[in-house]
Amino acid sequence: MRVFIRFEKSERLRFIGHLDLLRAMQRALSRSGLPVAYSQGFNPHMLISFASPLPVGLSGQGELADVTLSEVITEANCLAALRTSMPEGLPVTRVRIVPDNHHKLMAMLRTASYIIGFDSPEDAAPLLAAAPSFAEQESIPAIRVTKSGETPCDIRPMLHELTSAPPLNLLSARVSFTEANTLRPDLLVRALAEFAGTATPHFNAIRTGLHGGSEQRPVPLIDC
Amino acid sequence: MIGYDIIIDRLLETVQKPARYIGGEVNACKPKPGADIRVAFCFPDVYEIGMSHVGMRILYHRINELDYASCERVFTPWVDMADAMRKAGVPLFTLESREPVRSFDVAAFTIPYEMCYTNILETLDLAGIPLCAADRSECDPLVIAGGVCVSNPEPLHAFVDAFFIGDGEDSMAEMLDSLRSAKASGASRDAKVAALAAIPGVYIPSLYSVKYDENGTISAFEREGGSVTGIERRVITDLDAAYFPHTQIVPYLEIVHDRVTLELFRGCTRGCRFCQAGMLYRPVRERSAETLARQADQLIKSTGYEELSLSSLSTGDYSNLNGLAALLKEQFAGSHVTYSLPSLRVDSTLGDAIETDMRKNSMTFAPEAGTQRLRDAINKGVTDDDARRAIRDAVAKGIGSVKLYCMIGLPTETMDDIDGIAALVSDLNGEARRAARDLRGKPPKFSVSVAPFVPKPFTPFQWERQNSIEEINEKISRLRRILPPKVASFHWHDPRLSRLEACFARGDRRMSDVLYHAWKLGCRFDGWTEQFDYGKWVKAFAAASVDPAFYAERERGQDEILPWDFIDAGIARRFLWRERERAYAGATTPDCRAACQGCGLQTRKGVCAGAGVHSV
Repeated sequence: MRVFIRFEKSERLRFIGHLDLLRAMQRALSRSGLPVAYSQGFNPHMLISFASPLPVGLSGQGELADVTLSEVITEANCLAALRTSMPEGLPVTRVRIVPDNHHKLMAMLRTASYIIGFDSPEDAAPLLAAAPSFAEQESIPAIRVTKSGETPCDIRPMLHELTSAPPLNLLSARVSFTEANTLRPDLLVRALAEFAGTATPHFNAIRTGLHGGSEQRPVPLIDC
Repeated sequence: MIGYDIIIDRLLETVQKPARYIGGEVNACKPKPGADIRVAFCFPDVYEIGMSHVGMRILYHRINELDYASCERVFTPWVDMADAMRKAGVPLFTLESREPVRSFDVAAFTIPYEMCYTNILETLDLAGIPLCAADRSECDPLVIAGGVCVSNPEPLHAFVDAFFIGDGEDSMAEMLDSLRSAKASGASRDAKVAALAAIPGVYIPSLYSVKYDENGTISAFEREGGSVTGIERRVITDLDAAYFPHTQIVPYLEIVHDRVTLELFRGCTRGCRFCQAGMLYRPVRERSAETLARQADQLIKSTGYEELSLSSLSTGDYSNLNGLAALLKEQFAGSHVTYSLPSLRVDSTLGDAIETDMRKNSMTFAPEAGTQRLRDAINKGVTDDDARRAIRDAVAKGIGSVKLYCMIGLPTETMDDIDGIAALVSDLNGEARRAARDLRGKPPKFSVSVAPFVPKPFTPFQWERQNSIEEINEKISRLRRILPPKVASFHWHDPRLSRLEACFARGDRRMSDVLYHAWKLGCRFDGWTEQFDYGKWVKAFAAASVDPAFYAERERGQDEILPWDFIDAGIARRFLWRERERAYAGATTPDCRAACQGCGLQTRKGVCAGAGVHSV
C-alpha cells in the first residue's frame, strides 16, 4: 500500500532545495519507524516521490509526498508516527492511505494555488487594481525565460483564478500545473506588472495547494 | 532582532546556498535567551564543512547540556553572503536565534587547519568585534579558541583572548563555570580573562611576552611578573566515560560527512614521524565496543541517518573491531544501515569484520612515500607487499578506482624517491592487471595525489626545513613527466598553499601581523582554490616585513627556542629529537603497543595505559 502525506514547507525552510527536502523526508521516515518499502537491487532506496518539486525560495502549505509501505498500517497510526518524526519546519497536516495501483500524484496534478505577497501597499496597489481587467483579457502575451532562451507564450489559458486582497497586499491565483502547461508565479507577476505599467516589485509566493480533478473543477490532490 | 529578520531573509533570496544560514535543523538546540553564559560557537569555514566537524558536534551539545549555558552556531558566511551583509549593515548572527554574535558572552572558535585563519578575522569583523584582543571593550565577547592548530597558538595570539589546549570536553565546561562566577561578581573583562588563566590547559597570550635575537629566533618567552610554567595539554584519560552527545544535528544541506560519526578512539600508536595528530593526541584511548554500539543506536534512532562512520586516526587498529562489528551487525540486523571506515591503513587486515558500503566504488591508500627507504625514514610501517595485497583485495571487491596519496619534500628525500612514486604506481598497476586476469575482474583506475610536506609542531620533523616552491615544482614536473598518463591521473596540492601552511604551523607572534595584512588585502577562504590569491599573501608578508622563508625553509637548531615550547603536550622534546635522528639513520621505531618507546607520556601519571610496558 501507499500513503499520501500532506505537509507544509514552512517559511524558514523555503530556502532548502528539492533534494534537501527529499533527504529530510527520508530521515524523518527512518526516524518514524514506519514500514517504508525500499527498492530492490544493489543500492536500495526508500520508495518516495513528490507531487511536484517546490523551487528554492517558495514555501508551501499543501505539499504532497507519496510513500510506499511494506506493511498495512492505519492512517491514524501513520499520522501519529509522522507528527513526531517530521522536522518542525515540515509539519504533516494529513495522510491518506491508497492502494498500490493508485495513480501517481504527478499524473493527477492539474492546478496549483498561490498567494503572492508584496512588501508594501505602494508595491501592491497598482497590481491589485489592475488584476481584474488583466484577468478579463482574451489572451495575455508573456515571455517565458528558460535556459534555452526567451520564448513568447500566452499565459491566459493557464490562469484560472486571480483575486486580490487589498488590505493584506496579497494576490491569490490558481494556475495550470501540468507537464505541458505550467505557469510560475514570477511569470504571472511580471506579466501583471507590465500590464499595469509598473516595474515588477519584490514579492514572496506561497504555494497554498495542489489540485487534481480538472483545470476548471479543482479537487484537492490528496483526495484524487 | 525582528528588524534584522526581514533583512536577513531578503539577503538569503540573493545568495547561493541560503540553507547555510537558516538553522532550524532536526536536533538543533533551542536558544536559551535567559542563560547565564551564552556562547556563539564559530567555525571558520562554511556550514557544510563545519557541520561535519566532530569536535564541534561534541562541544555544541556539551555546552547546551549545562543548565546555565547556551551554545549557538556560527559559520563563516561565504563571500556572497558576507558582502551582502556588509552592504546591508547586518551584523553576523547565530543560526539558532539570529542574534548578533557581538551580544554573546563568548565567541568560541575551533581551529582545524591553517588555511582558515583569515576566516577567523573575517568572522570577527562581520560580527563587529574588534580584531585585536587588546582593542576589545567590556561589551565585546571573550574570544576563545581551541582545536588542533592551537598546539601552536602564537600566530593567532593577537586576536584571541584565551586558548584552550587539548581535549575540550572538560576544559570548556571549566572555562564557562569560571566565566559564570566572574560575570556574577561583576568582574571586568581583564579579571575574567585572568581567572581563566588558573584553569589547566588555558593559555592567555596577553600575560606573556616574547623577545627575539638579532637573527630573528626567539631569545626569551616571559610571563609578566611570574615564571613560565608549561601549559599542560588537557587529556581525557577515560574516553569511555567521557561525554559524547546522544544526538547529532541533521542538516538539510548535504554536508561533507553526511552521516553518523562514532569516535572509536583518540590517539595512534604507529608513530609516523610526519604526523602531528599521531604524536599530539597520544596516548591511544579507546571507547569500548559496548559503549560505541549504544551510541550508534541512539544516534541512528535520533537522526534517521542510515550511514555510520567508524572514525579514528587508524580504524584498523581498534583493538576490538570484530567485537564491535558483531554488536553492530546484531543491533542493525534488518535495517538499511551501512558503514564507512575512513582512515584505514594499507596494512590493516580487516577481514570480514565489517562489510563496508559497496556503493563506494573507490579505495584510498596512503603509502606517503614511493620507496621503502623513505617510508622507513618517516616510520610509515607500510611495505610494497602490503600495498600489493591491498590492491589484490580491491580488485577482488570490484573496486573501480584506487587513490594513492604521497607526500613530496619529505626529510631525506632524493629524486630517487620521487621516481619511486612512479615505480610504485607501475608496480601496483601490474599487480592489479594480474589480479584482474586471475579473478576475471576489471583492473581499477589509479589516481595519484601528492601534497608538499608541511613540517608540524610536536613531531620529530618540527626542526626540518620545508622544500621551496621551486623545489616542489621541480618534483611535481618530474612526476608529471614520468607517471604514465594511461595508468594514473595525477593531482597535486598547490605548493604555495603548503608554504603558507608551514609558515602558520610553525610561526611565532610576528605571523599575526602577516595574517592581519592578508585579511586587510581581502584574503578569506584561502583553502578554496577559487578564492586563494597568493599575490595578496606575498604583499602581506612584505607589509609585515616578514620573510616566509624564515618560517618555511629554515632548519631549526637543536637548542632553538621554538614558539610552542611553552606547551607541555605530554610528548617529550628529547623523544622527538631522537626520532628525528632515527629518521636520518633510516631506523624504524615499532608501534608502541608492542613496546613502550618512552615518548614522554609515561611520566604523566595514569595517562597512558601502555606506559613502560615492554611487551604484550
